[in-house]
Amino acid sequence: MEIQRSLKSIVLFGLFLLLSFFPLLFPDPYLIHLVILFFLFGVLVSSWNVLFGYMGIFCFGQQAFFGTGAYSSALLALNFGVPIPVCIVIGGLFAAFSSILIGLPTLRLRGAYVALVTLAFAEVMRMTCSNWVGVTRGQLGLTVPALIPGAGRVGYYYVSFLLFLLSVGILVKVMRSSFGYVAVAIRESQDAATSLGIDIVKYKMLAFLLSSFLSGMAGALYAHYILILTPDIMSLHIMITILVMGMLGGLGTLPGPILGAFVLLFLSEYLREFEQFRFIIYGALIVLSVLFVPGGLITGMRFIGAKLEGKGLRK
Amino acid sequence: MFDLSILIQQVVYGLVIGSSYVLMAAGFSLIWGIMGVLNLAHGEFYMLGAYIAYYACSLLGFNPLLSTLVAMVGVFSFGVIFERALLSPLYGRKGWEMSTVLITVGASILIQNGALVIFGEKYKGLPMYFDGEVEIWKIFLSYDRLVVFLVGCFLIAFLWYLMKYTRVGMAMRAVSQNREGAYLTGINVHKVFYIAFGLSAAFAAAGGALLAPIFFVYPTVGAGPLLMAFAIVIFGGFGSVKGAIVAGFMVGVFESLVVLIISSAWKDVFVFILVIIVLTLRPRGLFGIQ
Repeated sequence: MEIQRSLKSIVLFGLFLLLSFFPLLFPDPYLIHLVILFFLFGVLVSSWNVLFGYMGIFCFGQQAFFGTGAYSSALLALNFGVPIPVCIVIGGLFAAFSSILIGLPTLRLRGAYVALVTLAFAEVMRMTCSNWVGVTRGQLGLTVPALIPGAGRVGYYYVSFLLFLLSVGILVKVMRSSFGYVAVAIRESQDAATSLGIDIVKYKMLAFLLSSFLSGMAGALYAHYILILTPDIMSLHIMITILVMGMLGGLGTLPGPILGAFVLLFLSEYLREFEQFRFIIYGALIVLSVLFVPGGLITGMRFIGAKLEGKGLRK
Repeated sequence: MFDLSILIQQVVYGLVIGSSYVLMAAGFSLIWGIMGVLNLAHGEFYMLGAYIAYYACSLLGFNPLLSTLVAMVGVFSFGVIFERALLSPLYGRKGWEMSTVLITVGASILIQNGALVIFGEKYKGLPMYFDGEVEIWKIFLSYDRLVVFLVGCFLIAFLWYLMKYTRVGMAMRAVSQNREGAYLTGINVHKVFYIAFGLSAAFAAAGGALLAPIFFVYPTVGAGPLLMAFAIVIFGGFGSVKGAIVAGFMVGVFESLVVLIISSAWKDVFVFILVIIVLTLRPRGLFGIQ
């Protein structure tokens, strides 16, 4: 136990050092771009995991939060000339506000209904962005001002690394507090949780606010990095990617979604020649992991770790 | 400009589209009621039905109605295999609801993108059933749409009869009311599951095949009808075939009226906003019972 724990801190510290000096060690712009995407998707998938993995809320509308953050930040910067770092935070707040709109109707609903309403909500948002041409320029897309004009990838690397560290820090803190236990209690049985005096509405709403705020900031940063914003940012493809990353890594755990985001981003790099098969492979990965590895990679790794320690599976 | 006959015309169009929505939504609702599975791959059955009809028509030279039948039989078999291979291993597992949602999402992505590779992304159109149009009371309706409507209504009536009066239908209703109870009376629950799943797939395929001559066929064609089926099932209540029939026609007409009054680009937005409002006020849907 002790050995395992200190081994874990050493590995984590090593990863932190590696990521801190990564752009200096590997000055390949494309590789840096991939790691930036890993940071942003890591935040996105981890924040979705709070709803889906921890609390069991079937949220299929996370792309709406990502897109709301991106659009509100870009529009503020373009139309009102607000400084971009402020825009990104406000983008997160707007996303949190949109989560109130979608959170309230879903609070009293269960299972499948939540899946449908969140999905419908995201589609409404996407279609609104694509039809409201006067403001969003529709499918033509917005040209978004850069966060750091003239700076190369390295600048973006450290900004997104900071966002990643902050988000993961917040999530670790929150999920290890009583909030995390309450979330799991709600997932396992809403009725039992209510009978213990847990205010389900309050906790679900808090989860929505936290999750959408982080996703919105990730979306806003993404927009100011990619510099072009179309309604496709809220397409179902984003949600599918989130889903595959989360499932592959392991839902309901903190490192799972991050591991999943990392594996999938680099896997899709290796599969670049098979670009047209990408989503076929994603689909197959979901099906196979539901059938054969329901806990995702992280559970498999923990299982092997426990076997090596010779203690059997730790739950 | 805004005269009554245009309004009625639009309502009639709404009923035609509605008949295909009902075919889609009834099966979707059936599977929820009987198996407790939210089948997010339902739109792919619609797409496969449309493609099978297209190839039966263009390669084998079948007439469009026969092609629809071929599509239904083909997709029925596909649905049965789907249920046996992907869903049956999950029964009784912990977190079953979540795993079925996830596996049907995965299967949907797989089938849709498989179709993209196999059939290509080009839009394909079927020849019309018949040329010409009927005129009743200054309302024009092409024979095409009339055929879609009539065949759609015939299939809906057939499903209704099947559920109400046949042994298979009674077994399905029994399982949906009380799975253990049905099992104890000697009903083979697993057989009911795959027959119901196949039927639901076949009706979705019929919806796709019937509309193929009016709209086009392409790999992501099932996404729109799937979302519509959601909306309808929410209005009609999960698991209620009757609710799906009423709500299907209602949504079809509502959508056509939005197209007439506002614009076609916003029709889905309005349908979904209506869904969210209805669910906020009545969490079990309009006709939902549970």
